[in-house]
Amino acid sequence: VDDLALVNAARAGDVSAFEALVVRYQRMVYVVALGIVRDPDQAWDVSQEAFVRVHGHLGEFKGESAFPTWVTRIASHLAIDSLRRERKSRRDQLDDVSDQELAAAGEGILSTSLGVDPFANLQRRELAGRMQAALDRLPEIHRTILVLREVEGLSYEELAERLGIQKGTVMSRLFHARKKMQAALAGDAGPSRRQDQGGEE
Amino acid sequence: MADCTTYRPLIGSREGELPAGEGADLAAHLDGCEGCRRWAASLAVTEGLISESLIAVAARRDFAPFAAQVMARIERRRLGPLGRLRRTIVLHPWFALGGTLAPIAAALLVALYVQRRASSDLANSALEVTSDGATTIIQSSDGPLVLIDDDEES
Repeated sequence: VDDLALVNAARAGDVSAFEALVVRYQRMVYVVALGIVRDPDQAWDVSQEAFVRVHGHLGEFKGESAFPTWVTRIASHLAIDSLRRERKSRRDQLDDVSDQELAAAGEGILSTSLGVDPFANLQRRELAGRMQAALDRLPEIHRTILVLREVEGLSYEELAERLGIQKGTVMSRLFHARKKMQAALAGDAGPSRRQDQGGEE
Repeated sequence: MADCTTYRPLIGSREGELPAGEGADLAAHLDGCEGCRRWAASLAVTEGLISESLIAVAARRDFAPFAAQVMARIERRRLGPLGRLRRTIVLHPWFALGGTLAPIAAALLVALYVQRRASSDLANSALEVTSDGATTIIQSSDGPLVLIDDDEES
């Protein structure tokens, strides 16, 4: 059954149709939320809330965009809001990437140490394993823009709209985020803060 | 280097995201700049890694209760606070037991009240009995009641 048929059935009051949509996209939504908020339980909560919001606005779904795009967009909105609320009570911004690592990353050190063919490179797998720790080391604004770009697949324009910034700022922020990510991956990331707190990464 | 500062943020753009002129300028710059080519190669190395690693984390989590929890949230939201309270009262085992026992308890209370009331009336209407052997006079709240000995009468 395609998404639109399930949406129409859910709109008509078929509870199992909506549940089927939830099961179909729950992991996808969770992945986006987790990428932004980093806390597994908070991501779980944000993802569930996204589906609840979607259910409450099923009548407004015109099918112009795909259902997963819609629910993922709501999830990332909620994740960003959740971080903003958290930030109000916590003034410090986590930024673990050192200037030295950052300077090295600017020269594209990953390509030098790993070669330029990503698919032939066995160390890519190891990099993927270090990605969670690297994400934890990034400041929220850089992590968020990276996840929206790389996971949700937003364009520059969509990023500008979603984050309420200019397109030029999007490109600049994305560049700095990538630089920090490269630095965090290339450096010895070590145990992340969340791992220390018993997180699931 | 000034050129690199300008062009590096453009590296990683998708097709159609840069104006045609800017895209051509970037391509020309990349041709002549080893540092920027290395940067582009670095980005290529990590292309898709964020998604892959997040998907791997999500795959380790048990999603069995997720959908049911979402549906429960929706139901709670639909009922609102008053509806939830009503449902709690109806569904909670203690409240359900209370609902069953309430008529029995009420009946017991009424019976107890009636019994106590009767005892109280009896106590209030304490009879005063006087007897001279042949007749007995009982002073009740309804007036004196005279009882005549049958033997005496005969």
